[in-house]
Parts: sequence; structure tokens; C-alpha cells
Amino acid sequence: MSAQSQPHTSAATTELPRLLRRARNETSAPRSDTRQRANENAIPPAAAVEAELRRQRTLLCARIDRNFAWLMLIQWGAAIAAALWISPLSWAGDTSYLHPHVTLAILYGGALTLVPFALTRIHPGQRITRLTIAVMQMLMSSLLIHLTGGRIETHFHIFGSLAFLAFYLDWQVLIVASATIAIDHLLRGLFLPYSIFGTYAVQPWRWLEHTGWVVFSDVFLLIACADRIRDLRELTVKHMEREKLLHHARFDALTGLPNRSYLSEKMAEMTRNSHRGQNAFACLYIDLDRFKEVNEQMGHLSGDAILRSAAERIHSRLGENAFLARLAGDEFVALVPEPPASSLLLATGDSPTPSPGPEEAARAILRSLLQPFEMHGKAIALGASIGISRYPQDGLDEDELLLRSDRAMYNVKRAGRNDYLFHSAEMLAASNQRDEAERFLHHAIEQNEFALHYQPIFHATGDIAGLEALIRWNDPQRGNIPPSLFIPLAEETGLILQLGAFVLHEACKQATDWHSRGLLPGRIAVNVSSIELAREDYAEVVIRTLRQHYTPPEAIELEVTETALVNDFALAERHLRELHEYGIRISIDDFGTGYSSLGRLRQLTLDTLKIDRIFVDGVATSEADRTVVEHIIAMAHTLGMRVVAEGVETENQLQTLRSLGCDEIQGFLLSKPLDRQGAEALLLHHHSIPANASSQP
Amino acid sequence: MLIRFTLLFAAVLAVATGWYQLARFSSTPGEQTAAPARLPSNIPQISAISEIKTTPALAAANSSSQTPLLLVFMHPRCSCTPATLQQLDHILDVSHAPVRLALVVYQSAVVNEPSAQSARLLRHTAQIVPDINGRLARRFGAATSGEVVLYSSGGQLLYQGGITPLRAHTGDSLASDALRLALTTGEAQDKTFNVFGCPIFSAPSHSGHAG
Repeated sequence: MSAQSQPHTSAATTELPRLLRRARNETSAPRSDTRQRANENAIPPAAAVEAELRRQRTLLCARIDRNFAWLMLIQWGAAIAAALWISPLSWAGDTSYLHPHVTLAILYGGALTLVPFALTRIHPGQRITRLTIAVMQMLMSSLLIHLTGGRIETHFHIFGSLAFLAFYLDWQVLIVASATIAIDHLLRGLFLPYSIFGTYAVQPWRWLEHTGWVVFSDVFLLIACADRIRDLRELTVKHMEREKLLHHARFDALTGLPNRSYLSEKMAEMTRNSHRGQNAFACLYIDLDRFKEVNEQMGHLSGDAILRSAAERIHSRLGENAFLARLAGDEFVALVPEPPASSLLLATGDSPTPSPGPEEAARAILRSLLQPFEMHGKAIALGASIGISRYPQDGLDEDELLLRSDRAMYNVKRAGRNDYLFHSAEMLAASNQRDEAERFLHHAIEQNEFALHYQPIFHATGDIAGLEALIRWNDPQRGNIPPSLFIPLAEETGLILQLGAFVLHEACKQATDWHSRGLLPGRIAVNVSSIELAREDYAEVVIRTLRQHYTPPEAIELEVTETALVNDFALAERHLRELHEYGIRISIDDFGTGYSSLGRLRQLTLDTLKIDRIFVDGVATSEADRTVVEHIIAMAHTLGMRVVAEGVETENQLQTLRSLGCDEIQGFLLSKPLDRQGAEALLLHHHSIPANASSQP
Repeated sequence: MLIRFTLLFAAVLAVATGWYQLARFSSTPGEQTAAPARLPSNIPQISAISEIKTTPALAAANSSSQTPLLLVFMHPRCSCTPATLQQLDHILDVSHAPVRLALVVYQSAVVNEPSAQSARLLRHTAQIVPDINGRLARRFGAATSGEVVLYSSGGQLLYQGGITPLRAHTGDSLASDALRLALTTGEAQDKTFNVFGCPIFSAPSHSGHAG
């Protein structure tokens, strides 16, 4: 299929498997939700809290490092300014020169400043940096004290520095700072007591008193630090829990990819940031093919593992600017930026584009998913169907883009899967037509424009065995609309549930009426859609309807196609068993055209088998068809089922089927579908096959 | 790793050197020579220092040319000398001794501050004696700004030296205690105390420690 291939415009095409899969995904969602809630409620483990705390402290220390670096630069400048202000020059008689304090403030202050400043750039947040800062800050205090002549006021700089250092929340920093100032004072106390004490009294051990006050200050600061660390730990736990909640709210727990909610945010952001066609992007709707079968065959755990692998493969094939989210089940959405025109020009040459465009990405994804997945020693082949819509051509918001890429993906599915397709104007037109038809269908249901017709089913002996209820839509403007046009649409839109309910109610009402009047010789057959059969409560609904209309169960027969059984065989089997136990007859419709296995059919409690018209058409002329029909009849009889041949249109077909032992006949040869009055007239006056069957319309 | 150790060693060396230089600058005393044991009588500027009342309290006392004479030799631009004058204020406060006080301020063609500027550095009242080209300082052996000499009323040298513990540092010290004792008791101090300040003279022979 080419990227711009024609869309499928026929509304008759159905996507029942997908709808059923979606329904199953919705029902299976609570399992993962439960797991997710369990994770959310879990308290972060101690090791994780410690790791996060370390990370937070490193960030905190790095921030304080930066602050200290700038603070020390300011102090350096202040030291130089103080030296200049006190005396820029020193004099010897008439000769002046730069005051040594100024020189020392520049050089010594510079050494005290630049070493930690460099460390904050080389090792931000590291212990060596803050310990160096602690030492240098204390020496800076000592310098300032000295430059100002040992003024007692300047000593407060030490305590201010300790308070600043306490922001590190590291006891080692305070200890190292205290040790530094203690050593400094010890040395000065021993050699220059006047420089710090302002007096010679009780020298030199007065440094101990100075140190004692520093330690006293340290005790307060350490207590404050410990308290702050405890707060920080509590905040960290809360922060981690909040982050986890936020993560779960925006990311898929299974694959770790962004979820639907995050996708919405991203699409809103991308459309908001896009101006006048710039920053265009494509929305790739990716649905894994055959995933449901694999999931059922190998179990949910294997299915989850495959989903994770598939997500990784898809992600690895997208460019770094692309965005991948998991919508639900096996559906993913990728937002791929359109390469700018310049890169497209480049790409025409030999140089590859740095980031794949939507089409290249779709191809790469398909290639990657075609590679088998290894699971428990088995190679599992999947595939994907990808629908692509483009912003802004195909839509200006999330809903439009997703809807159109989704429809493009449907078209890929209908065309045989494992391919990609861009949304197109034709597809949009078809989509609009379908939307319009859907509106009409809604209107018709509301206006009660539907009615039942009945096609008689005859015994091979000629008696009427029953009737098949067939729905008819009589539109006031368009006249009769064939079921082949609106049934698939109704199935696709879910309206089939309302139509099915209408048919069942009408059939039950009519069956009760005719049965009570002794007109109904057998049963009224009602066709069942696979959508209806996928309902969890289908059997209950049917039984409730029969009870509502006081319909004898044997007066109703449900016709189920093979295809309807394929999607969820276990559920269908349960429904049919319950209904059969209630007394309702079960018929397998269109036999021979579906995909179900005989082994599975054998597990069902079936009463009737209806041979599809494709075999009946050639039964009188084709030896092969005759042989097939003969074997079907034999098999059905062996399994205890009656056989109905539908679509009988010629006398030869009728005679051949009779000769093959077919139990019942249905077709235009015998009777076309009749309205209620016609059917009732037939039941009143015509209980057997007309003498000249071929004369019937 | 080697680079890191080298850088670390360099940083430590730089810091240690800076710390040492800072301490050395502050604690190295200036040059000194001995002052005349007897107050020279042939110096008119000195003889004129007689009627200064250092404090209001002393103004009422028997203050005359017979009271002790305290000379402070200073370079007006030395940033260490204000600490000397601050310490002197303190000594005068606690000694309550009558004294004739004069600030002998170095003056030259280059260094020529107004007298009032030097007087403002001292809280007590003192006479400002301009010392043209440092002649008086040479006479009294004062080579470093902040040097103090005290002569008794009889002209005997009682004290010579600085009164601050370090450059530009105020605070009690043995020197300040000795001056206070000399002022209150009139006894001569045997010891000469270090002076911490800028050199008064720029001549190499008198430059002392570069400060």
C-alpha cells in the first residue's frame, strides 16, 4: 500500500475485532490500575529516601557554594575597600607607597577567595568544596579583623560566617570552620596576642575563651542544622511521594511512556507553540496487529512484556524530538516533527536527515515490529497498523488529529494491516459521509423508522418451520435503505445494540402474538450481532426481553455468525449455553464463510446450522458444492443439528437439497421476506410449500 | 591527581604566606634611637609648651611649665598613629596626671597637613608643634611615628617608646602601663618600649622597617 493510497469509503466495512479488543482492554484496565494504586500508596523505601536526600543536599550545597563564591568575592572587595579606606598609602617621611594592607588584601584576600571560587566551578556541591569554603571564610574573617585593627565589632564576622556556613547542614563544615578559627586564634594568641585580644592580659590562653564562644555558637547552629535536616528529610519523603503521584498521573505504569493525559498536554503545547505552519508535526496512531491473540494465548504477563518491548522498539525508531505515548492496550501515539524544508532538500542528496520524518518513522516502526519478539523461547510475530494525520493540514487540535489518525489507522486495518496510511481529503469526505449517515441512523431510531419483515423457513416436507426476522429501514425521503448499508455502520458506531434490542423486542412481541393465536408453527429467528454477543449481560438481556413479552423460549431462535464467535469465544459460549438452557434455540448462521474451527463449534450447544448461500448457489450445478453441502449436512446431523439451506432460488437447488437430506429451506424461491401483514396472511393460509414453488417471486 | 596536589599545595602556601606577612607587618617594630636623658633647654618650640591644660579638670590644677612634658612624635599621614593617640587618650583618662602635652607633627614640603587635622585625632587638648623636616624628631631620637617621650618637671627622661601593642592596634600593653605609671608616680622607666608605626624619615638611615 502506498502512503497516500485511497481510503476505504464503504461504510459497510466493520471493525468489530477492534471494538471488542477495546472493550476487553477497558475491562482489563482495573488490574493495572490496582497495581498502580498500590505503588502510589507505597512509602518510598529508606534507601530511596536517602538517595533522594543526598541528591537534594548536593543540589542545596551546590547552590550555597555558588552563594558563598559570590559572597567571598564581595568580602574580598570589602577587604580591599577597607584597607584603602583606612589607608591607601603608607609613608616614610616624604616617601609614600601602597600600604601593605592593601597589597595583602588583594593578594591574600584573593587567595582566600579564588580557591573556593574555583572549586565551586569544578566540584559544585562536593564536600571538598564546602570544607575549603569553611576554612577560607574563617581566614577571611581573620583578615578583616586584622585589617580593622582587631576591633571587637569585626569579630562578629566570625559568627556571621558560621551562621552562613550552617546553611550547608553539615556538621563537618562547622567543625572545620571552628577548628580553623581556633588554630588561627591559638597562633595569634601565642605570637600576636594583641592582634586579637586588644590587651596583653591573661595571654596567650585567652584564645581558649574565644574558641569557647565559637563552640557555644556551633552548638546552637548544629542543633538548628539537625532540626533542619529532619525537616528536609520529611520534605524529601513528601516530595518523592508527590513526584511519584505526578509521574503516575502522566506516565503509563507498564511501559513508562507518557500516558493519554500527558499526550494531551504535549499536543496542546505543540499546537500552541506552532505559528503559521512552522513547527508542523504529524500524529502517528499506532495499533499493534494480532496483539490480542498473543495476549490471550500467552497470558497477560507475556503480553505486558511484549508491550514493553514494542514500546522500546517504537521509541528507538523515533527521533529525539519525537514524543511517544501509550494510549491504552496496544495503541500508541507518536508526535513526530515534520522535518523543515531545508532538511528535506538535504535529504534528497546522500546525507541522511538527522531526525526521521513521519513517513520514515512509520516505515522504521513497521520494520522493527516485524522482527519477532522472543518470549519463553518462542518467536512471536506482530505487526502494526499506523494512521497518520498532520498538523495543521488535518486538524488544529488534539481531538481532530487523533480522530483522523485513528480513522487512517482503521483504513489500514481494513486493507489488510501492517502498513501505514496518511489521512487524506478523500478519507475526510468519507468520514463526513459516515458521520452524516450516523446522524441519520440516530434520527431513524428516534423516529421509529425501522420495521421487521419476516422470511419464512420451510421444512423440506413443505410445512412452514418458522420465520427469520429481518430489519428494514423505511426512510421517508430516501425510501427503503438496504440493511447491507446501515447494519455495518450501526455495528461500527455501536448503534447495533439499539437496533438489536428493537429487533428482539419486536420479534418477541410478534412471536407471542402469533403463538397465542396458534399461528406460529415453529420459531422466529433473530440475527445476533457480534457486538451484542460481546456484552457481558447479553444472555440476561435476552431472557429479560422474552419474559417481558411472555414469549415462550422455543418460539425464538438466535442466529449467530461464525465471525461473531471468533472475538471472544469463551464469553459467547457462556451466553449461548445459558440461553440454550433457558430453552432458546441457537443457530449458526452463514456456515462455511467464517473462520471458526469445527473443534470450537463442537463445544457450543447448537440446534441449527444454516448453510451459506455461496454453497447453495452451485449445489445443483457444481459437483464440488454439492459434495460440500452433502458433507455439511452429514456432519450437522451427526452433531444432532438440523440444517437450513438459505438463498434457495431455483427448483433444481430445492430438489437437490431435498435429495441431500437438508431439513429446511429458505429462499426467494419459496418466499421473499414479507411484512407483518403478509407474514401473518401466509401463516393463516399457507402452511406448506406452494404447489408451484418456482412461480413464487 | 598531581595537578590537583600541586594546586592544593600552592593554595595552602599562598594562604600561609599571606597570613605570615600580615602578622609580620603588624608586629615588626619601627626603628628607635635613644632620646636625650635630659630635656634639651635650647629648643624654643619645646620651651613654649607650658600652658596647655590637657583636660578641663586639670585646668583648675596647678599647671605650669613645671609640670611633666609629654611629646608624641607623629607622621600626620601614618595610618597607625591614630591608634597611638587613641591609646594616649585612654592613658590620660586613667592617670589623671597633669602634663604638658604636645603632638610633634612631621612637616615638609611634601607632607604639610594643617595642625587642626592632627589635633582632631586626639580627644584631649594638646599643643601642635610643627616639626619642620623632622628636626625635633631627630633631636629626640624619634624615628617612628607614634613614639612617645616623657620628661619630668625637672627635665629627666621618664619614658621612651610606643604605646600600642602592634601597628594600628589599640589595647592595654606593658608599654601603655609603663607610661601610665611614669605619669602618675614620676618614676623613670628603665625599659625602652617598641614603637609600631610608619617611619618618620624617608632617608635610608632612618627608614626603619618599611611599613
